[in-house]
Amino acid sequence: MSLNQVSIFLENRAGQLARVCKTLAAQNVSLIALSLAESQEFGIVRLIVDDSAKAAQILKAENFLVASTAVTAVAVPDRPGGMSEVAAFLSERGCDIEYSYAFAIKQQAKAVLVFRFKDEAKASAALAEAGYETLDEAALKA
Amino acid sequence: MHPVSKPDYMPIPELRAMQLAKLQKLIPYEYEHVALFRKRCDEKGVKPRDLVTLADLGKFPFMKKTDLRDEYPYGLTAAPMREINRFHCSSGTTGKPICIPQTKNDVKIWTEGVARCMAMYGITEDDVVQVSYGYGLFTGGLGAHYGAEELGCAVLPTGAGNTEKQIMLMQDLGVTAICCTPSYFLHLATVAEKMGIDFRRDTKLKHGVFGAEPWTDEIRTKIEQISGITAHDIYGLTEIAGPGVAGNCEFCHGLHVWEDHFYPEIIDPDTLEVLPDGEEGELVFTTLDRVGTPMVRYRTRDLSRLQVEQCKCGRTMRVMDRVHARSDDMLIIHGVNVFPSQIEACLMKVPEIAPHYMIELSSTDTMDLFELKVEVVAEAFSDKIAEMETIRKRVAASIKEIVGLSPKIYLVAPGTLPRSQGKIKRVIDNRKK
Repeated sequence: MSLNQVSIFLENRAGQLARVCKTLAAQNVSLIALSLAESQEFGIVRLIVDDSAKAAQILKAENFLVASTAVTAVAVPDRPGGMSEVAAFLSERGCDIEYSYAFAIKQQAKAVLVFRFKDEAKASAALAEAGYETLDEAALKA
Repeated sequence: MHPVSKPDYMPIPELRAMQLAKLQKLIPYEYEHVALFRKRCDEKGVKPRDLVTLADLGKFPFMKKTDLRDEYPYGLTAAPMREINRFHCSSGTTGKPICIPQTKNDVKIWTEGVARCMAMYGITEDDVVQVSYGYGLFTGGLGAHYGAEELGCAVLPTGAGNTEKQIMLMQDLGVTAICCTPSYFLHLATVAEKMGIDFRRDTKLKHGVFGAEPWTDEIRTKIEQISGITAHDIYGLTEIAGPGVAGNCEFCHGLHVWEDHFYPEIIDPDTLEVLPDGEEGELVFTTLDRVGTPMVRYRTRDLSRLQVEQCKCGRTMRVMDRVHARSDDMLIIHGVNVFPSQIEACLMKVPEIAPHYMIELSSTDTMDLFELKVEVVAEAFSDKIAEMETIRKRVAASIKEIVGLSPKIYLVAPGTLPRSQGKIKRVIDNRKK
């Protein structure tokens, strides 16, 4: 099971991230997780939102550079060692990680680890086979 | 053949005799009515009667853009106000504009130049011509308009701007030819794509009449690829007429100059000597028929060449190389000569980059800072930093290879660099002079 992540290109000048957030807020899109990657000259903000299709569409309409990418969101118990176990498993199975970030769902005492894999299909299959809980957009909204 | 094209094929001896006769009328007229010209001739010790052969034109003084500014508004006007029928002003980027008062016949000659270009491109009275150049003081809009009307085309005078509406009208009215700057057409294509409109499938567009800014062969190829139209080159300048001084035929790698009205010379911009045909230098024009504001040996700053070979199309009018650079446009960065058109050619080699860019120059006490902003095409965007860095490095390598400099390159989102509706501005030079 995979999740759609919305990535947006940010030019290296003031107010760029604010513009993204304002655009989404104006259309009632809710942010669930945000990760910012930066180089010296530009940044890429990666978002998990409650409606990724809508988010991509409204951002494109505002002339943002937008990409939708399938990522894997693994739910683990929100306690020390939750991440460590998954990381060890992935390493054992030879699933290369391009990047990762995490967020917590406090109400459910869950931590969600978001992974961008080099080989999404292979990693998803391995995680499913081992019985890990992966989330899609519907599961996040619930 | 449309009757307007007849002079294109004038036998060369007849053409030269006509040019000489016109010059022998023009030079005394200019000497009598324009004080600056008279003063300069006197300083050089040259008299109107010294013009015996065409080559003698080289003895007479030049005119420059600064003269037009200094003599603004009426200093170079030769005709009395009762004969003046029209003003055009050039889009001067700094200070005072230049102003060209013209008579009714001056506008007629300009119209003829545009009509001859359009006829050469294969545009006929069956065509629906959309004029997306700006109307007004700028000569682009009205020039294209008159030329198309003269040919009997159906003219749609949209002017520049309001791009979505322009695309709608283009579709609804069955527009077959568009006149605009190449950069505006690229903008139009981007907007059309966003609207889900494919020029080939959804419009009848066949011809593009592009001018008013230097453009490269790469841009021409790109325009033809994305739209399926034939991109024609039209050259001109307000100081001489407007668009329609020269245009390309289906054979020539360059543009036929309507030299029965606009007499061309190529000079060495340093020594100011006239160069023989075949050599590259600065293009100089003399208006052979203009009465309102005649120009004798006007230095265009455009770099070009008059080709020696006769064109296969049978037109006798000499062919000038397409202007890819203006000597004014040349930037000296870290001591290296750079033309914006070179940067454009570099960018065309990187498919992930749109052909829109902005050069920004600034300086510290000791050195120039060279920054280049380029637009990433939407399909090339990746969520991975490394892939975006690769695009940046590709641009850098391409520029390093051709220009020999390493600007700081900034990627920006598509559609965020300023688009022009008239002439595009691609350089911001904030260096201390």
